[in-house]
Amino acid sequence: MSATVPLDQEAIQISLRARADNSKQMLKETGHYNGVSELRLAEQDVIRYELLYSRLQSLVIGSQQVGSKVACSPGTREVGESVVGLYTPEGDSIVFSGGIMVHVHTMSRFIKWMLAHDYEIDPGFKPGDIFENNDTYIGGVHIPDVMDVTPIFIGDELIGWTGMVTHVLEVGGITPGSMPVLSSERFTEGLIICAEKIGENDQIYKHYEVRAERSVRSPDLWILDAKARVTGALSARDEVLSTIEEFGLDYYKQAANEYIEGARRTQLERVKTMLIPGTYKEVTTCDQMMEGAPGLSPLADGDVTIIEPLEMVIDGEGKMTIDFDGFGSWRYWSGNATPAALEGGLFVSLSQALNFDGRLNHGSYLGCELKFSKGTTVWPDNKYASTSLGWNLVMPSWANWYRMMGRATYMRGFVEETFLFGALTPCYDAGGIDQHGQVFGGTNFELAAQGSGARGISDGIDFGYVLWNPESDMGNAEIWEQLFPQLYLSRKILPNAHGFGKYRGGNGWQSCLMTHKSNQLVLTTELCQARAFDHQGLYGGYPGKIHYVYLLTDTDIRERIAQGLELPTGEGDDPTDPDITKLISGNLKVTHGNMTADKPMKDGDVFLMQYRGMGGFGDPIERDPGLIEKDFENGIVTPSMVEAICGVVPEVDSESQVVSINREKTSARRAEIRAERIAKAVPVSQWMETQKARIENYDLPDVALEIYRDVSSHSIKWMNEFREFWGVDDDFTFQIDSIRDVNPIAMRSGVSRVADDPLEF
Amino acid sequence: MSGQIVELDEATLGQMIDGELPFDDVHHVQSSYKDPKRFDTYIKVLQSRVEWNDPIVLPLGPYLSIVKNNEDIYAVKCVCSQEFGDYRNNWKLSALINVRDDEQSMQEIWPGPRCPDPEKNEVREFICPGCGIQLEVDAVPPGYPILANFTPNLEAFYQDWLGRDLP
Repeated sequence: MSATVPLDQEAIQISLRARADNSKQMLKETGHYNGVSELRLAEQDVIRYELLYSRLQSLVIGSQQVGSKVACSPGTREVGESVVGLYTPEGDSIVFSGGIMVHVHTMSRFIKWMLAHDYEIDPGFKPGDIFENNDTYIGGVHIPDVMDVTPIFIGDELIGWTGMVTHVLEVGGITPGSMPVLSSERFTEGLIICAEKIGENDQIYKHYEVRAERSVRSPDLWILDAKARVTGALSARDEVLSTIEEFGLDYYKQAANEYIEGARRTQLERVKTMLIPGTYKEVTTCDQMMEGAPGLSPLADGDVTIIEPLEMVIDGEGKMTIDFDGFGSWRYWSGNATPAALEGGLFVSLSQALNFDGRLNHGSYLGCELKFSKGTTVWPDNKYASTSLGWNLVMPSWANWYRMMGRATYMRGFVEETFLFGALTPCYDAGGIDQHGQVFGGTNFELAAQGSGARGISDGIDFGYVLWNPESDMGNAEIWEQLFPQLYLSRKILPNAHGFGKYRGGNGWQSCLMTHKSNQLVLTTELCQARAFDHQGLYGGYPGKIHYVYLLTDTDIRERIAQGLELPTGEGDDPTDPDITKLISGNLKVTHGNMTADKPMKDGDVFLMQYRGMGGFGDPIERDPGLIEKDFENGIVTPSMVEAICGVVPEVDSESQVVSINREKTSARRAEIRAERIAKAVPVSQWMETQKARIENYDLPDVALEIYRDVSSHSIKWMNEFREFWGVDDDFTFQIDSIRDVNPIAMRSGVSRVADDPLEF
Repeated sequence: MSGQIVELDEATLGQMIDGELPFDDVHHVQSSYKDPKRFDTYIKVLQSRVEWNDPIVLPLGPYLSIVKNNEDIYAVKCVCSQEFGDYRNNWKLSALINVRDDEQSMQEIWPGPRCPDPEKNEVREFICPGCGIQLEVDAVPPGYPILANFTPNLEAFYQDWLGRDLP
C-alpha cells in the first residue's frame, strides 16, 4: 500500500493523512515546501515575521524548562535530557528547544506514523489527547527516549502538535537501567509504548501509571518523567494558542510554512557558503563483545564487529545526499538502529556544524536526502530486532559526517568551524537493590560530559562534550549517589585519554565508585567501543583510545577505610601498571566494551569507569610545546607519551620537579622523526601489491572476512568499488562457504534508498 | 557583534589558522555570519606561506592543496612541494604508508588495554615522501580499500558557487 494518494482538495480538508501526502507531492512538483514559492510574510514585514519566530522558539525553550522541573530523574532535571518541539498538522517540525535534538525528527516520524495509520479515525484526535511512543520503528533511537505529543486545536481544526521527549533512566528491560545491553530482541528491551493514547482532557490515564508501577524497576523515574513530558507539551500548546490569538491563525499558518521553506533554502545556501561540492567518503568500525555474558539469549550474536561507512555527495545546488549504503545485516544484538534514528542524528549534527543560528527545522531536512538499505542494521526488516543501543550506529555514523564537515570547512577557509565533535559515549547502567533496600534501576548520566574531538585551530573540549546534547552536563556526584548504592571515591582526569595531534582531542576522565550498602548491584556498561575504533582523527591526528573498565570485587577497601589508609582514585599515569590495583586487593577484571558484571557487585566492590576523548587534528609532531607544557600542568598528558607521539624532549627541573620541553632538542628530534618515517614507510603501491595477494587468497582475519561477506551481500556498489580498488577479477566474491554468513535471514536489496514512508514501519 | 559579517584581513586570518587568535576574537567570528570573501583571503594567506608559485585552486587540508601546476594539470601538492598527481586520483596512492597492524606497534600510541585488536583494525599512516609529515591516519579493518576521503567538484565550486572560471 502506498502512502501517496492523488491530489484531492476535498480530501485535503478532511484527512490529515491526505494532507501529509499532499505536502510531499507539492514539494516534489514545485520544489518548495507546501508549494510556498515566495516568503511573502517575510518580505511584507520582516519584524513581525521574526517576532513570531522568536516567540515560538522562546515558548518551546520555556516549556522544556517547565516540564523538566516536574521530573525527579537527574537525567531530566539536572543533565537536560529532554527536548520540546512544535509541529505542523502533518508532523513537520517548525521550532524546537535545545537538548536532545535528535528527537525533533523522531517525534516528527511518530506523528507521521499515526497519520499514515489512520489514527485520525481510530482512536481519533481530540483537544487534550495525549499520545505516547518509544517504539523506535515508529520513531525513536532507543526505548528510553519516550515521547509525548498533544494536538493543538482551534475550534474543530487541528492546527498543529506540540511534544516533549525525555530519556527515562530505567525501562524495565532484561538488565537494569535505560539501555539493556543484553537485549538481542525487542522482547527484552523493556516497556514499549507503541503510538498509544495514554490520556485525554490533559490527564494521563490511571492505568498508565499502574502499568508503569508494575513494569519498571524505578517507577517514580518513569511516571514523573511522563508527567514532565506531558507538562512540557501542554505548556507549549497553551503558549502557542495564546500566541496565535495575538498574531491570528491565518498569519500563523502561513508563517509556519514559510519558516520551513525558509529553512530549506537556508540549508542549501549555508552549504554553498561554508562547504565544498564533491564526494566525501568515510568509514569507521564498531564492536560489542558479549560472548559468554550471563543471561545472553541463545539467539544472540555475542561478539559483533561491523563497519560503518558513509558517503556524502554535495551537488551544485547545495543538496547533501547522505548514503548509509555499505552497512551489514541487522543482528541479534542491542545495537541495531532505524532510519528515524539516523535521520534524527542529522538534526543534532546540523544544529552544531552548520545551522547554529537556530534556523533549523523540517525544511533543513528537506535540503538533504538520506538513503538506507533495507535488511541492514540501520534498517532491519525485522521489527523485533533490538535497538536498545541504537546509538551504536548513530554516533559513529555522524562521527564520519563530522570528519567530512571538518574537511569541508577547513578547505573552504572557515577553520574556526572545523571540529571533530564526538562519537560513542560510554556509560554504565546499574540496578538491583539500592542503599534503602528498594528495587531500583538507572543510568548514571554523568556520561553527558566527555572529551570532544579536536578543532581545526585548537584542542577539543575537555570533560564537557557529547554529540547528542550540546548542553553537556555531568551532574553533581551527590545527585548520582542518591540514585545509586555507590559512593564516589573520585572523579578525576584520565591522562592521555584523547586522540593525539597538532591539536589534541578533548580529554577524558574517570569515576571511581565503591558499592555502598548493597550486596545486589547489577552493573552493565553500554555505548563503549570494545577493541575497534569507532572514530578517526583528521589530517594526521590519531583516534582516541579504546574503552575499558575495571571491576574489583571482594576487596579490602573497608579495612583500608577503617585504618585510614590511602584509597584508590583512578588508573594513574600508566595503564600497563594501574594505580587502582596497587592500593586495594581483590579480584580484578578489566573488561572492554559493553559488558555485564558476572555477579552482582557487593558492598565494598570497586568500579572504575572511564569517559573518553576523541580524535586529534594534524600531525602530532607539529604540536606546540607550550600547549604540551600546559597539559603537563593539568595532568592531561604524561612525559613518556608525548615524547613518543609528539616528538618532544621533556626535561624535569631537579628542584621544582616541573616538567618542561627543551625546544632546541625537540626541533632536532622532530627532524629525525620525519627522516625516520620516510626511511621506514613504503610506497602505497608496493604495499597494495602485498595486500592484493592476501585478499585474493582470503588471507584476512575471520572477523574482516565476515564483515566483507555480509556487506557485499547488501551492496552491489560496495563490492564493485572493492574489486575496482584492489584490481581483483570481476568474479572475485566473498560469498563462499568458508566464510560465515552472519545473518542468513536478513533481507538483501543490494541498493539504498530513501526510507520516509511510514507504512514501511 | 553577532548578526553581521566579519571580514578578516590576511594577517588576522593567518593568526587564526595558526591557533594564535585570542578565544574571544575567534568566538566573535564564529557567532557572526560567514564572510563570502573568506575563501579568497584564505588562498592568499596560504599562497604566501609556500615557496612555490603554482596557484592554489583548493586547499585540501593543512598540508595538501590542489594546485594548477606548470604543466596545467590540477594536481595535489604538499606545502613542501611534493606532488601527488592529478586531483581526481586518490592522493594517498602516491604517498608512503606505515601500517600499524600488530599489538607491538599499536601499543606505542595506545598502551596496555587502550590498544585496538589488530584483527579488527589496522592503523594506516600516510606519509609525505617529500617532508615526512603525517598527512592522514586511517583506522580500518585489514583488507579495507584505501578511501578517497574527498573528490571535489571543482567546476561546480568555481563556476556555480564562486561565479568564476577555474584558475
